[in-house]
Amino acid sequence: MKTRNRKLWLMIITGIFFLTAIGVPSFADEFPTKPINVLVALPAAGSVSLSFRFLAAQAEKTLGQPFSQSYENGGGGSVACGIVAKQAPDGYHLLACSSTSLIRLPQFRPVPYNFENFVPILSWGQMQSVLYVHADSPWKTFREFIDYAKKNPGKVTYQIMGYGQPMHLAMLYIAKQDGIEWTAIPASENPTLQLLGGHVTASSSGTAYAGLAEAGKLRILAAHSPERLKRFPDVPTLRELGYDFVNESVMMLVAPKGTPEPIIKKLNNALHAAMDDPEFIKYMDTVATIVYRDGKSTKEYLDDAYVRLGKQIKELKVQTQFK
Amino acid sequence: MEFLDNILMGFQVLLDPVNILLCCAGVLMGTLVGILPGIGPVGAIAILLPATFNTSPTSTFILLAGIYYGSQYGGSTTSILVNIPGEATTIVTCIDGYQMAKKGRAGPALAISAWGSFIAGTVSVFALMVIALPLAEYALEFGPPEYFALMLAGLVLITSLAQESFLKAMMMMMFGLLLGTIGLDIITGLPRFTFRLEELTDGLGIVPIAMGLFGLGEVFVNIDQDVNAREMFKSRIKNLWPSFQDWMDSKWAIVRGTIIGFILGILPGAGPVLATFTSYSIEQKLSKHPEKFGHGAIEGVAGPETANNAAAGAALVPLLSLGIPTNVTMAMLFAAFLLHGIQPGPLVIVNQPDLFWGLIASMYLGNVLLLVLNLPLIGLWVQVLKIPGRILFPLIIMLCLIGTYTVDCSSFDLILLIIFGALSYFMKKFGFEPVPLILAFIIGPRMENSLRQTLLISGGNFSIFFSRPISVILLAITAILIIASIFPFVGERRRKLKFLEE
Repeated sequence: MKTRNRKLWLMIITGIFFLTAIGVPSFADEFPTKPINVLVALPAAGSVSLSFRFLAAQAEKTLGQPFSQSYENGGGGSVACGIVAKQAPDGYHLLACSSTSLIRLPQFRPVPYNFENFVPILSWGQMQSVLYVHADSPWKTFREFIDYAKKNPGKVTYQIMGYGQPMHLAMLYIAKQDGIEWTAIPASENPTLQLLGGHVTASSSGTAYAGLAEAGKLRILAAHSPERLKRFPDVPTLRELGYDFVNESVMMLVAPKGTPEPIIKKLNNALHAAMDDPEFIKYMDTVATIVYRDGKSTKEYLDDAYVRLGKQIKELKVQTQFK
Repeated sequence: MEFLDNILMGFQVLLDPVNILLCCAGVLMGTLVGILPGIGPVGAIAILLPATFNTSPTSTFILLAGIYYGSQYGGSTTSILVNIPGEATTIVTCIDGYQMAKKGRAGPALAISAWGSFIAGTVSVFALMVIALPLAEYALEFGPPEYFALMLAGLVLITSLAQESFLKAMMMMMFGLLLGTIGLDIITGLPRFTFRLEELTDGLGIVPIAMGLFGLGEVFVNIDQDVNAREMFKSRIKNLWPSFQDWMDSKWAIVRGTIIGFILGILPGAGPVLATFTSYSIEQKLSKHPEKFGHGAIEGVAGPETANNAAAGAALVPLLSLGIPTNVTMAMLFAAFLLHGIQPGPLVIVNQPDLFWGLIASMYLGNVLLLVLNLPLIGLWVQVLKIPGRILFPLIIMLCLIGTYTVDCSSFDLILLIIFGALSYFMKKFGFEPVPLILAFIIGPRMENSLRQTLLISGGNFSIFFSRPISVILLAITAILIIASIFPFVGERRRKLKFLEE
């Protein structure tokens, strides 16, 4: 009895070994067999996290397993990226982030990862940002505002959310091209608060606050997007105004390097299909622009954007820890 | 009449059984996360936000707001019973609340904070309804110079109240300010004083420091005492309810706490925390027997506990009337608006009246529910004090460890907790008070931001502080406070010197 038991165990164990050896391709067919962990490198209430929720809710139906989201906003996202970069590349550990966490932070200070530690699965949206002034201010157009800034060097102050972020670079870019002197005031809570109170002249920040413009409290002078915003079709883009600058921060989902290609493919298919969800589209229309890229073109975008951003940081003389 | 119609409409919205149920669930969860140290309303709302995907926006806000103001009720419980602040806004309650518990008066302390919270909660909802818009507009007048002056005044006010030595309190304040500089520099986004430690990138956490200084420190000091005197609560539990005298002592504290809380709560950032500290200092200054403070004065519990609830209501003012989130919890609610396809802004009241008035009505109900929920629990809570020290101490240590770990799941925070627990032991032995340290640590970074933002705006010119009326008044108050604290100190020194000469 005992020997038979032992033989049975031996067979089972060899069987398991065998299956794992030949089973790699079929592994992806079965994927996922347990909940998929997604770490969000931004606040739980941010647009990346919320828009991904809509995608996850749909993709769960096709994948048959839930996505389990957790958040780690530490170090402006660098902590989360560092964690996922070291996790097992088995498809169960993913990172939702904006492209800035991957390509911007490593150019500012030492971080425990670089963007090549990750394989992108897909990107689904482009962040939107604009230039706000107070509705009671005399500037009706971007040109009028620039003329005022040129004539009054050092007088204009603008609020931004984070130093060196695309919204900041946009203002630096304009300043460099037109030879304007103006001062960035990084905000700690909300980048439109001090503008509403009249303590600063302008604010370069996201469209999450655009409700204030619709309510007649703020005025939008220019958009940082490649094309005009659906919500504000009358607002010109910086490109139209003659500045070759675009805020191209992208919302994306990535996996640690070495995650098998079929798993990436499967995740991509499920999440891409989820982008047709009307709820997702409705939400995205208020905070961002829907732009789909598959894993491969997201990777190409990251490679390219990393180099361009590096050049921009040097040209605009943004202070970094690498002097 | 329109006003009455509106509030009636609000109660109509609330009559929906789903909304009543969610209101109950919200305040219950709020009370729980308030009591549990570590997890706060921000964490709870983050966890629940996805669960509100399929509920209506109105129901969502009734639930989430319930968690928010409910947490302000629960926070005082652990402060009073075991000297562990459940939230940053209940740190100051530890001072006198815990002393009251030690003297067997935990019941009145808990009851007065529940009643104070109820009064402040209800009044602030009423104020939110009536004067939300003009007040929120006025709060915008506060720019970086005003914030800096306000926080400086708050800091000096607390330090000037030092019970032992003004000099030692100043040292603690400076130390707190120093600790606050660790982490990412807000202006450049680059790390400072982090020694290349990834854990320090975001600075030190408030929770491990507060729990270490108060909860763990208290346990260490107690263990150190003589075996016979080791019981934390020597006296018997006297009564469960505040006496008539208690009510007389606290009535003005409650009134002032409500006003201070509501005004400071509207201001962004450190408003609520500053409100509790300010209320405590003002009560001590105005008291006929200031020497009782720090030894179980009921006004020292009633004032701050009222202030934090009034501040919680007030923080909703800028969000609901202007669509501006002013703290992390409000940012979560802001995101909930967006999630439900509502553009936060001044138009919410106009376009979504059922949401606004339904929420207001639910807050009336919620405050009543919280009182009903909390009063019977007091009898249960005071039983905690009957637990003998040999069981209670390990429990407190465990509570501190778990509470700290749940915030970020960081083992580094546990080390910090123990370091600050040990530090607190030596501070107590050498007569240094933890309150100036923790306040300076919390508002220090915000104060630095305001100072640097101000100087960026003015191009490095300090005269900006003296050209704006609000900041001039606040700075004048600060100067008076400093002079008033230094003169007795210098006078005392002189007397001592004379005494020595003779």
